[in-house]
Amino acid sequence: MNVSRRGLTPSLPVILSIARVSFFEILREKILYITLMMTALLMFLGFAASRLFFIRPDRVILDFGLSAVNISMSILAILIAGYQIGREVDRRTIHIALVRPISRGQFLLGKFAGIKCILILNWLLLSAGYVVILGLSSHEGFTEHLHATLFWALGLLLFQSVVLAAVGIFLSTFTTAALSWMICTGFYLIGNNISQIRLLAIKTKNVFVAGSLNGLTWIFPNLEHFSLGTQVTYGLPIVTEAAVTAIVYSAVYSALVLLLAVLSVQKRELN
Amino acid sequence: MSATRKPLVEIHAVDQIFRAGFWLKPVQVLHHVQIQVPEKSVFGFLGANGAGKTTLIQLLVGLRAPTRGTVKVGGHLATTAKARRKIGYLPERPYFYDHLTGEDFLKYFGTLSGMTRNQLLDRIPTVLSTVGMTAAKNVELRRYSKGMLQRIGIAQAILHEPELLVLDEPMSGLDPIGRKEIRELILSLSQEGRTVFFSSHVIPDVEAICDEVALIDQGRILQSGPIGGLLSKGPIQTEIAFSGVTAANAKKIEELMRIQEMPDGIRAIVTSQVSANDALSSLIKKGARILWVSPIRPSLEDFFKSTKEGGSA
Repeated sequence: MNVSRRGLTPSLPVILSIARVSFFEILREKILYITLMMTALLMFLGFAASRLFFIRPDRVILDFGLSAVNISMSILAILIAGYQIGREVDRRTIHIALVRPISRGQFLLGKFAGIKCILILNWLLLSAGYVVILGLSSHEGFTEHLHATLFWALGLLLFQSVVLAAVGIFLSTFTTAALSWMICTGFYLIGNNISQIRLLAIKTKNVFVAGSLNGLTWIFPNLEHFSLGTQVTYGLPIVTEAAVTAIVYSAVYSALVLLLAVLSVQKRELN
Repeated sequence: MSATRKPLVEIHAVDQIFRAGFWLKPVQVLHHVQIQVPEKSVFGFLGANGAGKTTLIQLLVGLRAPTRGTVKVGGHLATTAKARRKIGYLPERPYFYDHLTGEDFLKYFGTLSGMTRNQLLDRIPTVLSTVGMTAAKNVELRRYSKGMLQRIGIAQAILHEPELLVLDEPMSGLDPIGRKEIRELILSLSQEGRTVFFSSHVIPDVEAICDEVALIDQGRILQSGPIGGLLSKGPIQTEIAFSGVTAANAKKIEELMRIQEMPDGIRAIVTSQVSANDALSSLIKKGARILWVSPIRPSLEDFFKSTKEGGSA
């Protein structure tokens, strides 16, 4: 038997095993395919809309496509993470797992790893579809838009979805799926408007309101780090340091939220 | 508790309080529960729905810690990993990941138990054979019947060779044949030297296979101990069958109760050893031919009823 010093089963095989089961379980969910179909539809709409423009129709496809990937990845992360722990508790599948010599933290990290794998798969499919549509619609050759900024932009959307998944799984440790989806959507909307909130804090005369708004910008994830839409549309070069900062930010924020999720799931009563 | 066997499970002075409602009002669901489960016994945990069986089982398997008191398995607190290594558990009405095949399902839980790949490859065929599921090992769980799910559930519980097997209502929802199969499976697991702790609200199931029993009602243990010892505390009755005396004459013997005329004679019940002696003497004096005298062993159901009513206990 594999046994750690605390008598627990070592983390790596446990996390991989839970991730594998979670991955294949989510793969059977309709939600994944609905999201994929919705994104394909959005991309097609972008393609159709681009036919209405005489000047730079390819930019319409660029914008529509990137937005479609953004929305799809975010919705998927919010939806699948939001019910992961709650459903395990309701179905009592978590009971049989937690009776084994594993910690609740290991279980939660395994579930998160499974969600991450699904997000990566979704991201690969969407990115591939996006690149193909871009190539097909390009007037000046396939490689015109396939520059580093586009790939960084796509990559950062994956990291944004990981942050949202971490928030979603944290919320699912103590609330219902519906509430988790609503709150997580709030995180997404606020997170994408952090600079507006900071601006509001500067403009407001009330010190208390300004302080509260600034406090919120520290609690909510700053998802603007992951948005490179303008750079992609206008073909601007990417500042590598900014992109790397965004990746580190994603890792640190997700780690902190997962830590809270572990503490929360340890306190959760199993009925 | 059996005097010759040391306890594998020690539940000592356990209270469990939940917080319920908007104001988190405390609700006590277990009251000073005290049970010892001897090793290598089949321990039946009997109580009505809502009596506190599942709550106590969750304490026993370490899913929650008691508000007060201690629960130990093999000398370790039940919430520790060392204790959980000794436990195999099948919850009531379990839902399994139904996209997995029987074999994948066992590999998953085996890995969580710390089994290596080689150990799994070695152990899974044995366990599948024990529960009679070898033929269905490559079938997805969503295609399993209720009885098959219970069997594969027991397979995951015994996979890592635990000392203690905890089954919460293992026969719930099964048809009579399924119940019989699970009873036989529990008995065979017990014969392998495992301690089995199982809960049920169906008295004949417990009576058929347990050698130790605890009765719980509204969170309080009413009785606990070897099943034979508990039943010997119950009312002792004797059935006497005789012929050669009319029913009208038999009714004159005051010790005879519930007199019934049968084709081969008359049967009657007497309620104590002294009454049996007196009734037999009276019958012989009246020229009766005694066909048989048979003690009636009280059922666990009778005992449970009388204990709940505060009777014989």
